[in-house]
Amino acid sequence: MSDTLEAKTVMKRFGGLTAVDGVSLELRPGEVHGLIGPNGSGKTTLLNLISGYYPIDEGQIRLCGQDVTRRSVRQRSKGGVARTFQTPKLVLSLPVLDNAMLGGWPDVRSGFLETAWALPRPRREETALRERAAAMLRGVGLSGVMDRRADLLEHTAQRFLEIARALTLRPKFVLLDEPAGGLTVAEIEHLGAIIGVMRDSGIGVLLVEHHTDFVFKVCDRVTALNLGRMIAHGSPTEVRNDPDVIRVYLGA
Amino acid sequence: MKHSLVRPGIVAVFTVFAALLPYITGNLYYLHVATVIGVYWVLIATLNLLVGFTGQLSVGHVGLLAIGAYAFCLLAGGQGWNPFIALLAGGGVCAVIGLLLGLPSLRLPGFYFAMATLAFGLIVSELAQAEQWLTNGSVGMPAPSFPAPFDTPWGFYWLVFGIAAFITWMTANLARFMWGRAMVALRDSTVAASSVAIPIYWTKLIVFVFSGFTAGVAGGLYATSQSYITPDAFIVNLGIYFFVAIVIGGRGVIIGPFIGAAVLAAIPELVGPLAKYGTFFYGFILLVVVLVLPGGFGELINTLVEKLRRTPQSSTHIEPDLEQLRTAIRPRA
Repeated sequence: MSDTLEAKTVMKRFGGLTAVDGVSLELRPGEVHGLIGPNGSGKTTLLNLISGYYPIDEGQIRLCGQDVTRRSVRQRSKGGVARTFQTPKLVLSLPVLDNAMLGGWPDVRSGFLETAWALPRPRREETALRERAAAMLRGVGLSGVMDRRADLLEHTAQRFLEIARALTLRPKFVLLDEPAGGLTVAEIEHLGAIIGVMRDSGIGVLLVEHHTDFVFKVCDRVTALNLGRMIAHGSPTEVRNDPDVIRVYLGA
Repeated sequence: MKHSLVRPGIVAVFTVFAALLPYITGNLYYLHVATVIGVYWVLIATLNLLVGFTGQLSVGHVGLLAIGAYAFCLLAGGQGWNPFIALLAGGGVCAVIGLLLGLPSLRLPGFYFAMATLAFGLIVSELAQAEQWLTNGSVGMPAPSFPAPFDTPWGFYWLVFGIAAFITWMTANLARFMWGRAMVALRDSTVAASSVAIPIYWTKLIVFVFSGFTAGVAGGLYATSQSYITPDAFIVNLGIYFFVAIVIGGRGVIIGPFIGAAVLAAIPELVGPLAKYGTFFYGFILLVVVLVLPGGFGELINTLVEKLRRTPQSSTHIEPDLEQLRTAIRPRA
């Protein structure tokens, strides 16, 4: 019945430090949700909890009404949660197109021996995934570099490649961890347009970002964290004018 | 994963040469060396999937080779099975042992996995020596040969060549489709691999079992190629040589380690008077490769092939095509 990705009063401690302290957040399809806050406020930790990279200490993660708190990263990815990383995590020895194709792994049905014998199904899947990934790469603007090895790609292009890989997964939700980091003004424009298309296509986007102007511009809702706690939540205008947010983060 | 005529061309020329080798050289000794290269290759081709592609550093495959060899000799010799059935059975035994060894050890981080496989190699070598009721101990046992037309040196060469070609074809298929990408992904970045739902442990395990099967098959062929086996043939050094063949050949390149396999088999045989320096040469080549060509010969070849078909790359100027993106995300059903 529910089609959201939810974090409910999530708690995460690292030793004595409480990195995320009872934060709740609901990511809806077709909505861009911003997550802002000073360094160390727990934004990326929360993203890692939602995608499953860290086990959570208390609270619950629900994906489309199902409790996925104890599910692995892999199961959540299969369930339609894709993500990108602050420092792009690519398979650097593979070409750009192959990296994007990896996003299609959850749809691969061909078994090991079936592939070893090059039976029709792996061939069919290969063609389909190649087309899907190539379309995503053209879509995000990497059509000129599909055959280039990923390690020969500029840092900014690697960010866009990660987005293409995430989209090749045909996700319900995409979690973007500081996607605007290191991008030029023009590239941030492109990023905003891409996020807009994701929203219009019904994908729920969680945007962890330091670039607050960008967040307020592209997001439908914004959550602000400080020291692991939620200090404000609401529309971009509400959060931008919230006294606590101004005090601890935006500055006067 | 790459499309060009250069690579298939090289492969075709090489295949024709290898198939016609018995006509090219009348020298039975050279043919024997070529057969041993083929036998090693049967093992190394799939070990390369495990070590080179998946990044699991197994140095204990000699243990699987030994088990395959003894299983073959016991079943085809002692029990009188058809040698082909015995060869497959030896592979099957090694696949099961690979599964039992892989289940616990593939959960370990790389270094500890390598140590576990080393321990396995040592144990098998020791058991071959000690369990005389089964293996005849250091006396060894004769290896049966295959029925006609594979009972002549060239007949057996073609049998090994056929099996090696078939296995190479399988590994090449695995490498070029999604499974190959999954293997490389979990080698280079487990974080990236799990973000796209690749089952890391399961993938490692299935590759390990597959390499176990072909190591067992290689064991049976090895026994026949030597016509008599003793535990001395399966010392742990050999397992390290297999591993080194992959480093020399270049991890993650399908035919790269063939160079390593050829060097491995040829040096002790062909250097003749220098045979006792065989290990020295092998070590020397390894040192040169590690220092000068960290990608191995395979990568060197790949780089040259790339140079030959170099197409001008357009710039990385990022210009999204939003219409394209829209239809790509939500394809019309």
